[in-house]
Amino acid sequence: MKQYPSMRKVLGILITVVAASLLGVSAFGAELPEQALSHANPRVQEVMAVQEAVTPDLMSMQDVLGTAVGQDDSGELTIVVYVNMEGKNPAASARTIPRRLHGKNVTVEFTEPFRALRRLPAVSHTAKQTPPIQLGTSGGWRYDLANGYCCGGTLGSLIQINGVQYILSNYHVFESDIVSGGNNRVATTGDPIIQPGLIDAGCSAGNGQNVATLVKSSSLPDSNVDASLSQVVSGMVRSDGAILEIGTISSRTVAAALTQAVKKSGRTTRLTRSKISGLNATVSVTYADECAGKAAFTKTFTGQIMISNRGSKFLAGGDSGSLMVEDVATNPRAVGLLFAGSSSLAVANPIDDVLDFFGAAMVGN
Amino acid sequence: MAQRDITAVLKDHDKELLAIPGVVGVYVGLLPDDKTPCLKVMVVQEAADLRRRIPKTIEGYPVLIEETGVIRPLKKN
Repeated sequence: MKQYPSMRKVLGILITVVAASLLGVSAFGAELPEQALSHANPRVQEVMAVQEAVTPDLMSMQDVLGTAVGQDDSGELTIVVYVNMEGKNPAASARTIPRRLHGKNVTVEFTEPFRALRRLPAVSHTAKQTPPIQLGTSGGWRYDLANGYCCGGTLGSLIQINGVQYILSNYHVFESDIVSGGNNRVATTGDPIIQPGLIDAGCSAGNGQNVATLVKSSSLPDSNVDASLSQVVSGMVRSDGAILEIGTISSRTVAAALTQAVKKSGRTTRLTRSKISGLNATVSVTYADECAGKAAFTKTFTGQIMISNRGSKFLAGGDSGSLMVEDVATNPRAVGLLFAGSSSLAVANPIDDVLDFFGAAMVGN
Repeated sequence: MAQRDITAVLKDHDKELLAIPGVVGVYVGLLPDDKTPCLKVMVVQEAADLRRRIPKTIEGYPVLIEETGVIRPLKKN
């Protein structure tokens, strides 16, 4: 994080070069080189000199991502200031930017955050893995098919009880089928847990692999956690508990704090980051009695963690069961077990409540 | 004047807030300054009726209404 300002500075210089070059080529390509609005043009140089002088101050302002030399609607050269439209308060930030600096016009442009466009190697959170699998991947109860739908969630993390390893996910991912209903079956201890889940296996369990065995714990509706575990099938899950795009975690946990930066790795939105926006939440959640089934009960949880989830960018359907950890690069400590949300907030059980429920510890370093 | 801890205040008032139709949750959050603690009341949809029924402050703490929609388990089907 401390390197970020200097990276942005480099970005600002790059933008300057790109913007000025584009002006020179596209708008004035037919003119003589000395008349084009390239770096060689004295008018461009004059504005660039001011831009370079004011950029450090501009870059220190909230939500400013970069600067460039461009043209306004009337064709006048101007210093363009890029404001992050996903920033803390883009409108207010834009208002604090002067409209003229050292006699040159300043124009504000709102933009999404700039990202390096190098294609990163894709990490699939839904594909069938070669065992031993990493967690943060698609998974679920092998028979989670009813009423014309199949269901699934995330095999989130690895815990241990008396030296035996279990995959931790949610009650409603592993064992919420409590009526024979649409599939003539209820979730039972000994049932297989598969990777990927049926939703990523064409609703056919044969396309997945058994990685663990359900140990039904019926955390809901009576307890205060939406949690379930399944005992690892020998050799099928990485014994160090590695999570896709996060890696190994700490065996220690940490309590949530307001504004704390967190991340998670899940089936649908993969690796995402957010921050804690609320503590001690009392929140009501309604559960179905099987996949695409009827409402079974409404549970009011207390003491929950709330996380910003604007546009479901942090957590979406299929991410249930993901482990939320502190946003640090190496061996992050677990904070919560994610299980519910809306398009603005996500909800997690405090991880210590989950571990206490099972008498378990995280597998980690 | 002494003020009670906000967590204790929430604990004493969460049930009455949750009993209001349309309220799906309540939690301890921060005002937009990211510093001042407040109580946030999560509602399915913001409405004038709800604004009338939810107090502006409780025991000196500001109460903010937040339209969150329904909170659902995030399994996929």
